[in-house]
Amino acid sequence: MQIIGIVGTAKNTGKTTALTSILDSLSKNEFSLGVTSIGYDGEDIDNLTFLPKPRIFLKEGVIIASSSLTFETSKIKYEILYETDIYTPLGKVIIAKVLEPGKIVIAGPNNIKDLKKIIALFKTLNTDFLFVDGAMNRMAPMYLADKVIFSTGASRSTEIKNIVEEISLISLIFNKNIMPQYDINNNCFFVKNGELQETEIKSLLTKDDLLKLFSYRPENYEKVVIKNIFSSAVVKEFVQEILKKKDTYEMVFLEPFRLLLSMNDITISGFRRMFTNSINISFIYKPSLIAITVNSFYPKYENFHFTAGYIDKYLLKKSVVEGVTVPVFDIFEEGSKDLVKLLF
Amino acid sequence: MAKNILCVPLDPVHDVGLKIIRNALLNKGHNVDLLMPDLPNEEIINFALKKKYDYILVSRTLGYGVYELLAKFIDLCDAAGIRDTAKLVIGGKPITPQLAAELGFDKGFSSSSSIEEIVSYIEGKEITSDMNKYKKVKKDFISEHSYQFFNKEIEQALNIIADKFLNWAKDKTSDGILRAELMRNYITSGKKDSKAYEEYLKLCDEEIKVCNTGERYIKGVRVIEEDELLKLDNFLQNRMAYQPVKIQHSNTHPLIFKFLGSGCPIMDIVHGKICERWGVDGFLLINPSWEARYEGLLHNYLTHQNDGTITSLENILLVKKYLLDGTYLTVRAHRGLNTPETTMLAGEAGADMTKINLVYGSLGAGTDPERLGVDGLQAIKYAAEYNMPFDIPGNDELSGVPAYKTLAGLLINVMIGLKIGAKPIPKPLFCYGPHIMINGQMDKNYIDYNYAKIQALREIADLPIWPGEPIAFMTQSEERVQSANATSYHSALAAFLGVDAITIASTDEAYSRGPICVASRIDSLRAVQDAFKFIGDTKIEPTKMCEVYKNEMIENIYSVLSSVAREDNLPQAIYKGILGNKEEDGAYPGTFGKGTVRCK
Repeated sequence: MQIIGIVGTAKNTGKTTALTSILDSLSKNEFSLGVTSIGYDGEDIDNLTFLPKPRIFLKEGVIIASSSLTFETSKIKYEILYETDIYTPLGKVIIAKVLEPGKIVIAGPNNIKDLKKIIALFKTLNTDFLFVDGAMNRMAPMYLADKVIFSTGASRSTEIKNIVEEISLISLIFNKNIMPQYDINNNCFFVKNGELQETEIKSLLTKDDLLKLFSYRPENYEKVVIKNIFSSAVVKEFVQEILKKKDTYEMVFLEPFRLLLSMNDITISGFRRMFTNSINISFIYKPSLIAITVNSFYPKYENFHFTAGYIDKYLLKKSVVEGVTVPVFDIFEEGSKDLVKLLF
Repeated sequence: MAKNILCVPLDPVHDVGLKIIRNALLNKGHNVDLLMPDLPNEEIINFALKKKYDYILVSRTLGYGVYELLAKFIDLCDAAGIRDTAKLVIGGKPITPQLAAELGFDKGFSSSSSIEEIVSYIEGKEITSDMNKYKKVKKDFISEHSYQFFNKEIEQALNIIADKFLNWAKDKTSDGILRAELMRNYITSGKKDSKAYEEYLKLCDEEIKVCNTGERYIKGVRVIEEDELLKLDNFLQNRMAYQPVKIQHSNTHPLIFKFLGSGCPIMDIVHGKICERWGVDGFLLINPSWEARYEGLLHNYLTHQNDGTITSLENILLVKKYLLDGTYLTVRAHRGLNTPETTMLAGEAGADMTKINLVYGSLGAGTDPERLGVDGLQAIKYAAEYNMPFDIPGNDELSGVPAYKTLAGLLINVMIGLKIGAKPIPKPLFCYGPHIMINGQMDKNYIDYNYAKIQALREIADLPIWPGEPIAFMTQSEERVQSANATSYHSALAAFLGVDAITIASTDEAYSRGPICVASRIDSLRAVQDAFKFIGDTKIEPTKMCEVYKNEMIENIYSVLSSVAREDNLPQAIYKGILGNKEEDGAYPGTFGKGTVRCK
C-alpha cells in the first residue's frame, strides 16, 4: 500500500479538489482506494469565511476512515467495515466502504498516534492507495506518508512572490538526503569520526536545552542529530555558535515536516539566513515530494463579506515552476491525468 | 484516579474560565497546573514535556491569525510526542465540535458547556452525547391540572351557560361545518374523493373557488414552486441546532411560545429553526385576517406578502415537518368562517394544539356570534377528537373590554370545552389594556393587576394558565431594547407566578411594518432567558391592591356570568354586550357570516 499525503499550505488551496480529481482518475483503473484526513476539512461551508467548500465526492468501492457524525450528515450509502477506538470531537472514527457514490465530509484521526493505527488497519484491507487529506496547515502526522503533494495558491497569499518563497523552500527541504542509519532513539546526539555521542536531550526549545546539549558536545564533532522539535531561535544560536569554529557542518533532522514546523519563518530567504550554505541538512527519513498543485482562487473580503477572488493563474504556475524542482499542476485547468502517473 | 492537567490560556489576557475550571478540578482531587496567559508556543510545549499530562486545556477567543496559531500549537504538540499521552482540549465562546475538529483538538467546549461537563469529560464519565442532552421533550403541562372548580357559584353559572349553549347549538349547522367534513373526506380518501371536493367548492365564495381551481389568486397569493421547496429542503437538511439554549432556569418556569405568520411558510420555518436554537418551546401559526372573511379555505403550498400565513393543510404540514419533535405547534382557528375546517386541518396535519375563543372570535375578531357559536363548537369537537388541547386567547381586553369580562369569556370556553371532552387552556392577558389605562389600575405598577388576574383564575379553578398574547402587550415601544425589557419583566412575573406557558412578542413585532426580523425574535428570547435566571426561585411581593383587584375581579366575573346565564344562549348574551359592549368597551359583535346558521 502506498500512502499519499496531500498537504495544503492554507485553507482553500485546492487540495480537496486535487484529491477528488486524483480519485476520479484512479478509479478508472480499478485500484482499491482508501481515503482519510488529518482531522476535519472539506465541509460545505468554510467555518471561517462562510464560503461554500467542496465535499469529497466518492465513488462506489472507496474505503474511508472518518468520524461517525460525518456519516450521519452525508447522503452517502456505506457499509461499516470496522469501528475503531479513536475518538474525535465528531465521534468515533469508523472505517467504511462506499456502496453508492456520493459526497461526504471526511474527519479522520487528528494525530500521529491515531493515524498510525488507521494506516495499520488499511494495510489489512489490501488497499492499493491510502490518501491522507491534510487539514488546514497542520502537517505533523504527514511524515507517515510515502509520497506527498503540496497544494498552494492565492489563498496562502495573493502575492505570488510570497507563495514562491514558501513553496520553493518546501521543495528545497524535500530535496535533501536521507540518513536512515541514525534512527536509533528519541534523543539528540553528536557524531564524531563516525561514532555516536549520545545525549539526554529530546527537544531544543529553550536556551537551557541548548546549554545542556552543548555540555555533551565532544571536540571536533562533524554532525549533530536533532531528533525532535526545536525553536528557531535556539537552533539559530546553535548554528551561529558552530560557524565560529567550523567552515562546513552537517545537521540531521528527523524528518522534513518537523523542520518546517519548528521554523517561525517558512520562506527560502528566512531559511538561508538560518542555515547558511556551509550547513548541510539531511533527514533520518522523509516522504518524497512528487508534485505541487497551484490554485489561483482566494476568498476575497469585500463589503463585509467574502466573494471569490482570483490572481493571475498563468503567472502563478509559471513562477512556482521556476522556484521548485518537482512538477507543478493547476488541477482546475488541467485535471490530474498527468499527476496520477507520478503515484506509481 | 487523579489526572494531570495543564491549563493553557493562549489568550493575551483572559484566563478566568480556566481558573474556574482549575478550581473545580482541584476540588475533585486532580493535579492542575495553570500557565500564565499569552506564553509563546515553544515555552508551553517545553512546560508540557516536563510532566506526563493526561489533558491539556487550552482557552482562546478567536480572532485574526488565531487559527494558524492554534494549528501550529497542535502540530507542535503532535510532533513533540505530547499527543501520545495527552488529550488536547479547546474551550472558548465560539467553539463548536466542528471547529474543535477542524482545529485538530480532541474535544471542544463552548460557553454553553457546564463545568460539570468538562469535569466529567476529564474523569472519563462522558456518557450522554451532546445531541441527546439537548433533545427537547414536550412537557405535558395540562395533565398537571385537575380542572376542578373551587368557586361553586361560578361553576354553577358556567354549567347553566354551557348547557344552554349546547342545547341551542345541537340542531344547527353551517357551510363552514359542512365544508370541514367534505374536506376531511377528501383528505382521508387520499384526495381521491373528487365528488367531496366538488361539493366543497360549491360551498366556497367565488374568490376562493377561482383560487382553488388555479384560475386566479387573490391578494398577491401564489403557489410555492417545487424548486423553492427543494431549496428549503437542501438548506435545512442536516442542519441541527447546535447546543440549543434552554430558557427556563427552573422546572417551574413557563414554556415559551412565539407567533409564526410572516405570510410565507418558508420564512416561518427558517425563523422557527432559529428560534428553536434560542430555546423557544412552541409556535402559534397565525392565519391572515382575510382568511376569516371568506367562505372556504385555499389549498396547496401558498405564500403571500401579507400578514398571516395561509393555514392550508400543505402549509401546516410543511411547518410541522421542519420543526423539531419537541417543539409545540398551535394553529389559530378561533375566528372567521373556516374555524371548523382550520381545526380539522390542524388535527390532520398533526398539530399539537389549536386556538379557539367563541367570545373573542365574535367580539374583537369580526365573526357573527351565532355563526362562531356553531362553528366554534364543531371546532372544539375536532380539538377533542384529534386530542388537541385548545388555547383560549383573551385578546378582547385589547379592544377595551375590562379584564373581568374577558376572564368570564375564557371561563365560558373552558366549561364548554370540558363538556365536549376537550382540554381548554385559558390565556389571560399580561397587558396595559385600554380599560386599565382609563381606570388607572396600573398607574402605580404593572404587577398588581396582572398578578390579580392569575390569582383570580386560580381561586376559581385549577386550570392550566398561559398568559399571552403576547405578554407585555401595549407596554412595548418601537425601541428594541425597551421592548425586550418589557417582555423580560413580564416574563419574570410569569415565572414567579409559575404559570404553564407564555407567548412572547419579538422586539419589532408591532412596529416592523412588514415581516418581523429574526434578530428581534432572538432579542426577546434572550431577554426572557435572562429574566428567568434573574428571578430564579425568588418571590415578587405585590402591594395590597393586588388582593383588592383580585376580589373585585372574582365578584365581577360572577356577576357577568350570572347575567349571561340568564340569557337564552351565549350568542344572545354576546349580541347584548354582556361580555363586552360597544359603548363602554369598544367591542362590536362581528358580522361575517351573519344569518348563515341553519337547522340541520
